[in-house]
Amino acid sequence: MCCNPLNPQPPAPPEPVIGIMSYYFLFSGNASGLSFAGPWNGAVQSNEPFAQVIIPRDGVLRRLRVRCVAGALSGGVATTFTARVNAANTALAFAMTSGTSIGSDLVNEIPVTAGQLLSIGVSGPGGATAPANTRIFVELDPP
Amino acid sequence: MIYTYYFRASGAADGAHFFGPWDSQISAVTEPPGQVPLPRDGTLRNLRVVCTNGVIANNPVSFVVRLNGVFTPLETTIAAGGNAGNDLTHTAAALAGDLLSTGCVGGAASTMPSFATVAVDFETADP
Repeated sequence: MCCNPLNPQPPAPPEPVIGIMSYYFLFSGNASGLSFAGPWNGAVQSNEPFAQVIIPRDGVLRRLRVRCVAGALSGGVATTFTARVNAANTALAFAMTSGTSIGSDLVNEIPVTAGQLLSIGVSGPGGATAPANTRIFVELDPP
Repeated sequence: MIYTYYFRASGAADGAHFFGPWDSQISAVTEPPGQVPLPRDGTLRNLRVVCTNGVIANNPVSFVVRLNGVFTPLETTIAAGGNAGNDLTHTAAALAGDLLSTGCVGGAASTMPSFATVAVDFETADP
């Protein structure tokens, strides 16, 4: 397959490794209805455009995880966490019951393309409440 | 390895303004609050900008990657009425310790909506 020993070619430079991007979102307080976690340490938003970040490259969103670091969900009802692309729900989502503090969706995967907008929707019926500093993580893997 | 830096911009864009990294919802006429040190030698590329809830108003705005307070060729201009742009062509070499920021330059009364999300890739040699 290679090479002419009388005419050796220099090896091609290695392709850069495209690593996994981890996105962090922050949520706290009233989760009834639909609101949006703030990216990184941003404030919770009722207006989704304020909570969207641009996706920098084609890839796959996966491994949505939630960790309440200062308590548990409350209100006696479930709260749903959903990865949204271009302001539409995706299948990367799960519901956490009241009283729990850790949850994840490690099954569903969402192909995305560079330039799309990522946000995290938090929704529940009346009474759904998340403690302060509820951390949400989602990964962008290479395609 | 490719890592992506994010900045967030909003508001006035007449003259030069600089943006806060990650979720810092600031646009300032002073640059230092928006600078982050680069951890390794590498190359900056793939500047992407999207105004997520509106359009550029009044006059075009050029979004530019800056190193150590100096403009690089990595730049995209969004016309008044537009909401997105990118520069997938130009690159800028950077050294560990260089200060990365993004800024914009607009004409009279140029205004960004709240908010614009800005992303730029930083490609480093693999360890």
